[in-house]
Amino acid sequence: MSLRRVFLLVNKERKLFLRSKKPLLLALMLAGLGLLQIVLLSRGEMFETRKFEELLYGSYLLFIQSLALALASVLAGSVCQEKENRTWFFYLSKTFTKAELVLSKILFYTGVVSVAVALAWVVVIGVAWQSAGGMEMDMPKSGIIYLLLIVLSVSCMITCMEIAISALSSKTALAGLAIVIVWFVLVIINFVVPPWLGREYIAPYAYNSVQTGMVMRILGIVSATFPTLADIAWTCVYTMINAGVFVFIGLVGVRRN
Amino acid sequence: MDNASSPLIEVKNLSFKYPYRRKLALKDVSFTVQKGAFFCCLGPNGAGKSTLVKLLTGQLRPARGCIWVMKNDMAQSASQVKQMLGVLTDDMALPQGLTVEEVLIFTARAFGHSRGTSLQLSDEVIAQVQMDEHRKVRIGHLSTGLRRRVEIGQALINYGRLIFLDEPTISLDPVASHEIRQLIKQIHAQGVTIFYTTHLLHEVEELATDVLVIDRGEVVLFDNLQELRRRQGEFIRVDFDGESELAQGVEVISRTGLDLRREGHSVFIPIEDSERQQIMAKTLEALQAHQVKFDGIHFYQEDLEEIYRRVVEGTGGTA
Repeated sequence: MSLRRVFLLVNKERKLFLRSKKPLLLALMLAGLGLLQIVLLSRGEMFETRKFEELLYGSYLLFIQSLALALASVLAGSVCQEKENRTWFFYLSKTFTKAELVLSKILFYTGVVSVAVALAWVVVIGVAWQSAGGMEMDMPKSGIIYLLLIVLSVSCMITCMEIAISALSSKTALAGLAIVIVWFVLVIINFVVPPWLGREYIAPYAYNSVQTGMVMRILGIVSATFPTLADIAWTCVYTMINAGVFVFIGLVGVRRN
Repeated sequence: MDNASSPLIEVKNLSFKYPYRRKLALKDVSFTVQKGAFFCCLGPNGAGKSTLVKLLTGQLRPARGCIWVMKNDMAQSASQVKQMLGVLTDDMALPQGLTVEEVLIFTARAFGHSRGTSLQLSDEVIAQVQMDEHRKVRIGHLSTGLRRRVEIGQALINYGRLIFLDEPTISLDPVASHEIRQLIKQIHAQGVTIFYTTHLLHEVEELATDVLVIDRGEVVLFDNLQELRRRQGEFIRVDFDGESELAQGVEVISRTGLDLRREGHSVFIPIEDSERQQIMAKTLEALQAHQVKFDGIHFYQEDLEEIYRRVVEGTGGTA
């Protein structure tokens, strides 16, 4: 595998992405999520839940749990669409390996999704701030950055999961269905697997996951000390290991496909 | 395999089977392709032509047999060989969102050329495939014929000395098909060796220097086209009016000791150059002596289509 060739593919992917309808689709999906959050935040006002951190926690859960489904519309076809429209063989005939093709998709879409999610979160925090009516927040200001880091690492893991599924599929529709199923299965595992088997590490978007627990600590939802940078870094590392497992599945699995 | 006159491609006893299929897709295929040849692989749909191209270009691995391409054993150095080939297959499409120029530059860069060299190469190929006025047009906005030109261009970009074209005129209208054939002829005239698959006989007659006919995965004919033309069977053809005349004619001609083949209401008697007049006289004499009525009698040379039909239908063989 050559990184020069992988970045050649990433550059090509950037051009194709910008010329396609995918940016619009991604924006629409994230805007849809944003709308849902605004609805939730207005409900917060109705129920007189005006604490900024509580509103933000509600937003976080809604956003992160729906992100996998929202991104599926863009990422389900990220690899298998190449097989469907036969460009896959063009790249293979130009001596690219299947692993190079999948890795380029992972790098490119992780970047795109991270930027889009970061932008969306700036809006979410702004809306939560407005809804809280300018109430003072109890958590330190660094909490906002910590929260953003966790959101980005989880969205990175979701992106890797969806691209791996796409790499293993031959049809976009099948990949989309598989993403929804895997998303549910991971959530169910989070309920079923005993804690000593490390269930909190499996689905970062589940309410009882390590990541959600850390977000609760940041926002002061649970009575625990405010996390240190090292705590946040470890949480992100766990999430990235999770992402790494999906990258491995994608790179190895695509060879058989 | 290292002498100077060695062929560009050599295939020996090649067999291949797709997973979960009982029958071999290719069975004991052997042939050679010389440098500078326009090698046509001909066969009906499903004969194994595309499988053969995929094996020769390293996309599939043979179950048995050897493939040598440009003196390299494909079993050991497929990735190096792939760097030297140009390929156009029927299961390949170009990225629709890139322009003609971008596709060619991307292809050149994929083969390891620098940005500057890639730009230069793309300019050369654009001129070669006559796409200068479309260089900034996206692939998705091109007609099928123009797209095929770009596909041929991307096969040529790596200074391609050997290119594989798998049914390049398929799904093209007659005008575009003719234009693509002219373009391929020009490319071949520049010294590029071409491995071309088709199921269209007129393309073989127009383009080929060598012909390989495969059917159900087996080689049924492999020859140089000129040699094949020279060996095309010559016959005396006798046409009859009806069944009774035909039966009578067959009986009379058979009694003279000549070989014959029946087809419709005609009888074909194979002849050699040296004895054509003698056999004609002998046949005429026999028919007239027994007062057999016939429509006409004349010398007849079979064309490539008939040879193809004959070998594919297994009614004999010149291979």
